[in-house]
Amino acid sequence: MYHQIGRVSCFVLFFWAVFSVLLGGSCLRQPYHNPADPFASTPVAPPDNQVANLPHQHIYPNQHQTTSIQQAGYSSLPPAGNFPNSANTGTPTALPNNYRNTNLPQNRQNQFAHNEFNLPTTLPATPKYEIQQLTSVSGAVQNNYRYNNSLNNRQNNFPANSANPTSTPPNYSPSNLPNNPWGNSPNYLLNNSSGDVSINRHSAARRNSNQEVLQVSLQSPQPSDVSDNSSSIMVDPSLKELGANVIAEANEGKEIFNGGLRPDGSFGFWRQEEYLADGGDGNGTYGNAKVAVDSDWTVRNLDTGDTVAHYDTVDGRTVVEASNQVHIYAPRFGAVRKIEGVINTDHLTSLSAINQQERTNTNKSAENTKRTEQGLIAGYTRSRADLEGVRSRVVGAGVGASQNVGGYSNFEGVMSYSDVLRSRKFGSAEIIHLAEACQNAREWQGTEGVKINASYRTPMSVSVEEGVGQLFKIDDSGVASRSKLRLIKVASKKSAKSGDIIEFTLRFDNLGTEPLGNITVIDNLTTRLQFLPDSAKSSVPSGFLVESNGALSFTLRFEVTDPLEAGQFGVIQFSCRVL
Amino acid sequence: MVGLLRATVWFILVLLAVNFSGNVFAQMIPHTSQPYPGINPAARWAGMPGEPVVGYYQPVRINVPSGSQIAFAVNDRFVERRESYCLVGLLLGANYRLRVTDIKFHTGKELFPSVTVLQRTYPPKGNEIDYPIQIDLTHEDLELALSGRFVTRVIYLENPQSALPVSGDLGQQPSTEAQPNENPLQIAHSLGKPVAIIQLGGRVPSGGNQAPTYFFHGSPPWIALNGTSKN
Repeated sequence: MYHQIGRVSCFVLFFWAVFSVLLGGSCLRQPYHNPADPFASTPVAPPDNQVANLPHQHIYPNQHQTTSIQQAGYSSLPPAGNFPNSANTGTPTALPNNYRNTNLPQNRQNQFAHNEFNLPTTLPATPKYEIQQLTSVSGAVQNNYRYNNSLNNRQNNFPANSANPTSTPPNYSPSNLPNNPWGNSPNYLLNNSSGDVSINRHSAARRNSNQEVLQVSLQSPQPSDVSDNSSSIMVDPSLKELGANVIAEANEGKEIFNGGLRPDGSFGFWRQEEYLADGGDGNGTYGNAKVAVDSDWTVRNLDTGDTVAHYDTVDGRTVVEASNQVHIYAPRFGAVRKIEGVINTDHLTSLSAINQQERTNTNKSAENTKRTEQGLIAGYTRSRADLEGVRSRVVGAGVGASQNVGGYSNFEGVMSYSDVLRSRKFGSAEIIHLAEACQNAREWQGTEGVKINASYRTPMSVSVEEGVGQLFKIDDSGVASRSKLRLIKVASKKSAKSGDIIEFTLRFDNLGTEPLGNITVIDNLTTRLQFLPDSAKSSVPSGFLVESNGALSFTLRFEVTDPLEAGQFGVIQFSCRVL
Repeated sequence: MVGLLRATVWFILVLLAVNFSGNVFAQMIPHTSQPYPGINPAARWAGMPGEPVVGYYQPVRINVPSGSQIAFAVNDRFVERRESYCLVGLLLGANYRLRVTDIKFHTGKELFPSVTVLQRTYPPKGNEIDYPIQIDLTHEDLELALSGRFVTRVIYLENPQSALPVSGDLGQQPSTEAQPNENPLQIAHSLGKPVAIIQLGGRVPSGGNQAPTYFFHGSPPWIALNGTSKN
C-alpha cells in the first residue's frame, strides 16, 4: 500500500519537474489582470479602447517595464491638458456635403481635382475619431491641429499659420479657420469650456492607426504582383535596403543555419549576433510590442535600438511610424576567464614515493589545494567595476537640455550618400550597388517599366526607374491614408570595428496629401552606439534633445518645428562611435 | 514496513530527479571544472548540425602581451614565431598547441596553451580577415599559468542586444571572471555565443627535447593569414 502511494506520488512529482523545465516556468507567469480589480480570479485582456487611458506604469502582457520619454527626464513636455481630450466618445457625425468647399487653399483644390481623390462620403462604421460641433470658436484656434510643444520654439502653427500662437489669439470664427481642410464646416471643431479649440479623438483611433498603410512584401516581387494594378504600385526601388532589412528583421531571434538573405543583401549563412541592428520598432525588451504614444506624449514600448517617428494628422490622430532597420556587421568578442589550481606534478611524485599510509593520509589533507581555491575566489571575483569608468561618458550636447540642431551648410553634400536621400529615386549608381546586394536586382534589372495605376490613388513617390523595387500595398481606402510619413534610416558603413565612426542619416517624407504636424523623430540608440556630441544636423528647423535611456546609451529626439507639407521631406544626420 | 521503506526510497529518487532536472542546462555544457589538461571536451560543440564548417578555416587573432612571441606547430614542431599577435585560420573543433615565449619578467620560460575554435563566424564576403575571432592573453594570464594555475578563457560573441557600452578604444577585450563553482562555458553562453576556448597551465612537455606526439594533438592544419586586422 505504502509503496504504491509513494510510487504514484513520485511519478507525479517527477513529471511535474520535467514539465516545469520544459515549459520554462511559463505556467507560473501571471496573466494580465484588470487594474480595476487586481484580485479578480479571471484575467481579462485590456480593452483596446482603454489602453491609452491606463496608467503608464501598468504592466501589460509581454511588456515587462515601461520606458517613457517623460519619465526619462522630458520634464518640459506639455501637460496632458493641452492635448485633445480622449475621454469623450460618441457617434461620429457625417461629413458635410461641402467638404470640397471653395475655401480650401488653391493648391489643395488642385490636388484634389488632379488626383480625383476619393474622400469618403461617410465616416467608417468604426469611428476612428470623434468630432463635436463647434458653436463658437475662441482661443488658440491653431490648437485644433497643433498642440503646444514647449520644447524650443515649436509653435501652435499646424497647419502653417503666420499667427503667433503664443500671444493672445484673436477670436476666430469658423469661417476663417486657417488651412482647415474642411474649411468652414462647423461640424469638425470643438469649443470647450475653456475656450481652447481641439479635436477630440477616440481613444481607439491610435490603435486603429496601426492598421493603416504600408505593407512591405517580404517576398521577391513576382510578375503577377507587379501587373496587379488594382492596389499595388511600385515605389522607390531605393527601398531595397529596407526590404532586405525587413527580411532580416523577420528572421531576428532565430538561428540562421540554413542560409538566406543576409542583412547586406547577399545570400549566405549569417548569424544575428554578429550584426549591430539599429532602427525599426520591436527590438529588445518589448519584443513585438510596438511603440505607442499616449495622449500626454509619453512614449511606451521604446526599446533600445528603436527608431520611430510620430506625428499628428489634421484629423487629430497621432501616428507612430517606424524606420527600416539598419544592420552593421560589427561583431565584438568577450571572454570569460576561470582560474583553477592544479596539483603540481612534482608534488604527486613525492607522494607516490611515500610508503607509509599515515604519511600519505596526512598529505591528502590537500591544504595547498584549499588554499589555492580560496585565494582565487577573493582575488578574481567577477566584478564589472572596471566598466564604470566607461559608463560615465560625457555628452557635450548637454543631457536633458534642449537645444537647436545645427543646419546644413552644404545640403547637397549631406545628400550625397545615395540617390535615395537626394531624389527618392534610384539612380544608376544605386543599381550597381543593388546588383551586388539584392536578389531582386538580379531578377528585375531588366528594362521593364513600372506598372502602376496612380489614378485615383494617393501619389506615393512613384519611381520612374526600372528595376528592382519593393512592393508596397497602400491602403488608401480610408481617411488615414491621406496622412503618411515614411522614415528611412541609412548608415554610412556596412561593417565597423570598435572605435569606428558611423554617420546615420534619417530621411522622412510626407507621402500623403495632408500636412503632418509635430513630427518627432526618436532614435533610441543601441548600447554599442555612442552618440557624438554636436554631430546632429537637420535640414529643417528642429529641436533636439539627448537623454539617457536607462540602458547606458542615449535617446535622440528630434522635434521638427514646422509642419511638413505634402511632398516635402527632411533629413536628419548624426554620428556615433561603435563601442 | 517494507512498503514504507520502498516509498521512502522512491521519494529520495524523485528528489534527486528534480534536482537533476533543475540543472539540465548545466549538464549540457561539456565542460567540467576538472578538465584534462590539453584536452578540450568542449570541442564537440564545434560544427553544429547545418553549419557549413567542414574545411573552413576560421580567422583567429591571438594577442599576447607586447614583446612576447607566439608560435604554432607544424608536424609536431613549433614554427614561425610572431611577436605580439598572430592571425591564423583554424579548423573548427581541432585542438591546436601554441607556444608563448619571451614572457616579460620570465625570461627563458615557456607556456603551451591549447586553443579550439568552437563555432565560426559569418562575415561579409571579402571581409573574413578583417573580422577574426579575437583571443587576448594578458600578462596576468601568463603569470598565473607560470605560477601553477590553470587558466581557461572562453571567447564568446557578444549578444548586441545585451552588450554593455564598454569602449573598445583600448582594444581590451571585455572579460568576466567565473567563480570556482561556475562553468565558464555556461556563463559565456548566457552572455552570447561561445566561439573559442583557450586553456593554459604551467606544465611543460616531459621527455627531454622531444615532446610526445599527443602533446600537439596531431598537429592539425592551419593557415597563416597576413591581414591587417587591428582588433
